[in-house]
Amino acid sequence: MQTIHTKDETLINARAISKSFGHNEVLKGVDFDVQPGEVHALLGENGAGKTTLLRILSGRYQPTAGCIEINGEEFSCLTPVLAQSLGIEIVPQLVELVDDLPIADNIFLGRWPTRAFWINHDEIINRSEKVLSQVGVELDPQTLVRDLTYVQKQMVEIARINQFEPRVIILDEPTAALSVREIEILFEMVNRLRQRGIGFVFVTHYLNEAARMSDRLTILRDGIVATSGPVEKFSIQDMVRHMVGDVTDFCSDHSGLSDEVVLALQNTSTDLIHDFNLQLRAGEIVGLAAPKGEGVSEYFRALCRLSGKLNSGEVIIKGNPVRLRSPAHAQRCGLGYLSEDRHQWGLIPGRSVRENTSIGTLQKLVKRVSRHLDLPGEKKVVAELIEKFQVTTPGMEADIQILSGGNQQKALVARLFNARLAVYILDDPTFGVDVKSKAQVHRLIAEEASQGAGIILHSSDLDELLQMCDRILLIQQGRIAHEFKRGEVSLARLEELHAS
Amino acid sequence: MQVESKTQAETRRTRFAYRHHLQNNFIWVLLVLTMCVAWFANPRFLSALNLSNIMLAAAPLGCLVLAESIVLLTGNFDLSIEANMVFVAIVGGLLMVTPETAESQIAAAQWGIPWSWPVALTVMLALASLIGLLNGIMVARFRMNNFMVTMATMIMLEGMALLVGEGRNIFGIPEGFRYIGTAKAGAIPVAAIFLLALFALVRDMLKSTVFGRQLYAVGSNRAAARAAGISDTQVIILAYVLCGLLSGVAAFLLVGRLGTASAGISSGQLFLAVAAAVVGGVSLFGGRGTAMGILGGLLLMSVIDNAMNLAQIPPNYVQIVRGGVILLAVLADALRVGFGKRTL
Repeated sequence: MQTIHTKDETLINARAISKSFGHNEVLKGVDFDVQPGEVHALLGENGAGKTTLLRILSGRYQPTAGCIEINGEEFSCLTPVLAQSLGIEIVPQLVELVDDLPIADNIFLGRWPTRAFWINHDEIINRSEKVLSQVGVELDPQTLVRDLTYVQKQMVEIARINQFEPRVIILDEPTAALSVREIEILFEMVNRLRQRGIGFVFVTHYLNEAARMSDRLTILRDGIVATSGPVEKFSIQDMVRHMVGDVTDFCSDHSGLSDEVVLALQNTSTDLIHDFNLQLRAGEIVGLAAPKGEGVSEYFRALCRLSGKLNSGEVIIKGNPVRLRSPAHAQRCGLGYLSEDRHQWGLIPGRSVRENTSIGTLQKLVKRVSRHLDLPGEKKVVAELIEKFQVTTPGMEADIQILSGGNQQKALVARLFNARLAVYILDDPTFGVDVKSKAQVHRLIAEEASQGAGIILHSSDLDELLQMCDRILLIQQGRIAHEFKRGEVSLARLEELHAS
Repeated sequence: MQVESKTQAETRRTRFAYRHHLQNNFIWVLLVLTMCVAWFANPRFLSALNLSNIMLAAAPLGCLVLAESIVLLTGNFDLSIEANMVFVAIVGGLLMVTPETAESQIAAAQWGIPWSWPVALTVMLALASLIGLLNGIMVARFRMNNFMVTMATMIMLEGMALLVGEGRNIFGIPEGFRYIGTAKAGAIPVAAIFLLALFALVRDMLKSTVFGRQLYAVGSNRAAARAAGISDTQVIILAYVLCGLLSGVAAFLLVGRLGTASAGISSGQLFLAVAAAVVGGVSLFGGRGTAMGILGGLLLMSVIDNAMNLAQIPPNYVQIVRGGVILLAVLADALRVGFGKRTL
């Protein structure tokens, strides 16, 4: 059934690929190849050219120069249809299946076998079972896609792709939305398929995963190959150095822990989190580690009254018991929240960087007599924030949507920190953010803590928690299962607990 | 207007800013072109009398356009503005017509209390704002669907207008009340000056007050605005109150101009108001639109109507052209939003 490729045959060999958009040269002579049965990690910061390279390999962009050799044939450019017919498939960052159809119908989407005019359901289900079992997925093909977890959707997508006998499968940030346990499931599946000679391109921000999963890695920086080679040759620090160019301070020290409790949560509960207690002191960073789906984000949103509310429990900010009514009220009481989903709960699309940054603190800019905004004053404040938070933007009047994810996130952090609150709840502030911006965000968080703010940091990146936090709380089944002081736990131990 | 867009070297972004600039000013280019065509078709178009007529007719509609636009900016709809205007016009008429001013005895018999017209005007504006407030509370606080809520209030207000006014024409509006609707300063109608002042006020509000910023933020992404500490519910309610108030002002100008109030003084203005707002660049998806654009949209719609009128095009054709212009505007809106998404 499956094409078994001989070991010496290169599946895809892109040579000296260049791509410009107008005067903007995104790729400058990049070489990239995939061997049968290997996982080739493609790393780089946002804007390094990863996405452009992927789009060229999958035929969505035409390179300005260079050639792509597939199966011994040379192409100066591909189209999506041509790339697919040559066995190059891409699993997008967000897998899109039809939620309201069962797995089987999704696998044959648009190519349903028919009997006369009617769809032949028996055949769809029989064939789907085969397709699924080929990649080792044990799911009932009649399950609605809506009821699947994200990793299961990815597996269905890979199973669907696998029936076209691909030579190369490109995984674009496949693990961003997965828990540690789910990542294992995905990796197992990748391992099974590579036995059959399928080559994988693995694009990720998570260097640990790249190190664990791949055989080779290529790091792009500013459109050129910064380095490439077997993965064993690189430590995580090496990877960061190649990605960023110069070594940045990955460690974030802060000091000035005081005894003043700025936030006390007593027996607070939502549907998924039970009896959560916390005493947060000024200058302290408390980390929350929780598997996805534990409901921590929902808990935060209920706490700040962004959506829903706490079922029970008491909230005490700076010694005053409060019943929060809205995020606006929470901010007046000194509690600010940064959501993990910046598109839904953060960005105001279509408005400028200036407006997006100043929107949280407009009251400070109101002139006393006329009640109008001090517009020159606003520009000054925003210019300072852009400088301090190192937001890269073509100007403060640019639409926030044209910034890269990392810079959008920095603008949102600037908006929040400019409110100068006593307590900040940061929900995965570096999710989907490139390495350099990540280090900058870490530095800013540490600075804010040094100045006396109490910070709750929830992160899917355990390494980040270990570096940043004075205490780490591990949440399992809705309760605090473990608590560690700084230095009390190793990454390996934390990962193990997190996954169990 | 985003004239101050600063751009640095990168062409992509320069092009973005340039396009942004063009999008925001396109309506004025179109307006000038339309006026040229109208002038060629009939030289009388540019006469002082005709221009002043255009402005006079545009004044009540202009208030409705502003009213609708403010609610559209929050990403909501208000179908009740015209019904609101007609209803408070009748209530106001009944209040201010006294036996001394009444030319006919029909209406004066009802509430003919010798109140001065400023009291009647105050009641009109307060009542119109109250209707907006109720709409706003239902839409923002109770999270009822904005389209259906305002459609229901529209139907109710239409019924109430017929009930209160008993379907009759109310004559005998006091001269003082009619001043702004009818007077001219030289060749320029006072109503037009009043309307421009109103636009200037709204422009100021949108550009440089906290509320203006909050309107855009809530319309663009209500959840994010809420997260950023904006009282989203209050902002939407206040937008509806302002919308109601402006509908009341529209009633003031319209009754002033016509010198009568009845359930039949206005029809079809709601759709023209929505159309002018969208033609002027106000997005139906919320969060986009400027006062200058809205003014451009209003003038363009008014000029097109007037020009077709002058050219003696039969009303049925006028309807078809109006519909076509609206379709084009909605298409432009859809493209604009699509363009924004693509740059993500």
